[in-house]
Amino acid sequence: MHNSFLLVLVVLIAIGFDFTNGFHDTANSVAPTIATGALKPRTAVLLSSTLNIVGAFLSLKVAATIASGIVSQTSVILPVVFAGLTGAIVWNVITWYLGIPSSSSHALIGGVVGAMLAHAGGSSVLWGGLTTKVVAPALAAPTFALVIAALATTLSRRLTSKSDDATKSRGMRTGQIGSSALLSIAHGTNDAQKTMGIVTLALVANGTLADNAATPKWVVVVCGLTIGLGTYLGGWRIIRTMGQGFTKLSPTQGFAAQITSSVVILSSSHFGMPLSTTHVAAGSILGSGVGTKKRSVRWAVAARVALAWLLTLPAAGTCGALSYYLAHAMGFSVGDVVTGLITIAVCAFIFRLSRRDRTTPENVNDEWGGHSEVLEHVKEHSHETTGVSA
Amino acid sequence: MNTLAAASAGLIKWGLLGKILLLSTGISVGLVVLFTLAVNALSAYRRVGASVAAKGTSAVLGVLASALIAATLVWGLYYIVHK
Repeated sequence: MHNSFLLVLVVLIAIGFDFTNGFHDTANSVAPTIATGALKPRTAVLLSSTLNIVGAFLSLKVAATIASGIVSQTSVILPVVFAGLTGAIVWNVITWYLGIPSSSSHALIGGVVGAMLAHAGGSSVLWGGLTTKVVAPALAAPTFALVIAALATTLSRRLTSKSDDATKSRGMRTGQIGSSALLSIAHGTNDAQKTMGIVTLALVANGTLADNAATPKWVVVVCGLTIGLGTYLGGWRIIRTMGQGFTKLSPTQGFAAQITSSVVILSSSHFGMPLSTTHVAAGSILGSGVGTKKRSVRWAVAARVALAWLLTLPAAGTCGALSYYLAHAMGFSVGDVVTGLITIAVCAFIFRLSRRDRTTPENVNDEWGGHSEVLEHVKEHSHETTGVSA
Repeated sequence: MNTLAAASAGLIKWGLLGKILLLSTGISVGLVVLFTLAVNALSAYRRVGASVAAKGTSAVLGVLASALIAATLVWGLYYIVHK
């Protein structure tokens, strides 16, 4: 099927997803570095952004074809990919607004599965593959990371009990910069390639590229730069949750958490079962809190994040399915333009909402107020709108 | 428990997950302990009033630990590029 117009739309929306993927996942590699003061916020995201771009160019093997082994590949058509991407973008932006670190990969898979269900019904989804490749790793990733980071933090804390605090803090902060860099490179190779895979698949599906053709250079450049730009703009709301919300991080905890995240991600990729960077990073930070003497973890924040993880597949899937139905009803070319515009409008609305309660590099490290922080905001807002103090 | 494991064997790759857990634990804990030893060695090296022998031991330990960490990171980067 040759439809250059639809192809351009898919490429544009894929680049949009790549951007949200970058700013949504910045927290994974920089949150502990910023929380402990190892690097200033702007410096941390600049380093991470640069290394994400480097990572995107390091390896050009497109390992991840979209939702491979999860949906029937022969049934994938461009409108399904388009609808899946819109579902993933909307869910990414909603969770960013709520400051929740959720998996961009799961959002993408959820969006595509939802669109496939709308397009070809339940038989087009490989439910066994969904369990093997998504559900089981989603349970394993945070659990593994939590246990390992707790063990590493406990050992490190006990071993450094006699060291002087100044040397210990400086040493651990230096180590954090190295581990953050490694994590950023790993993210660039894995996640930028995900979008490269989508764009390449769209080009092949449209007949623009031959089957098994190499990824064009412009795709590599555009995807690498886009994820780098998204990372640089930084999802400060999620960085705040990861760096301050789960636990109060010390340099020792931050270092243990980041080393654990890097190693778990690389090890799982080595065995051909890539785990979600977000799930691993969140699990590691929680584990580093468990490894402290007082076991200081805000489990209420962790529970809220876990709930969002459970909702990611069905929520992104619902958005993907709705997007597909709407586009189908209006005719795909016109319908995809309309759903694309709706997606942009939803993102703009949420962005506007976020301006009322901004998280910036200047306040990202403020003391965590948890629920009371939210209540204060509600009180202030109520006072502004009604003139009555709540 | 055995029934659960048997029922899920086709869908969940327990062996693979076990390998990931073992490898990750070994490397993560190893790296953190090595780095902690290097920081401890630096702290001991800088301690006022430490003997020359103690400073020498700390220096050797610190260099060894740092070299092992560097080797692991180089392997990590090599792996990322050539996986």
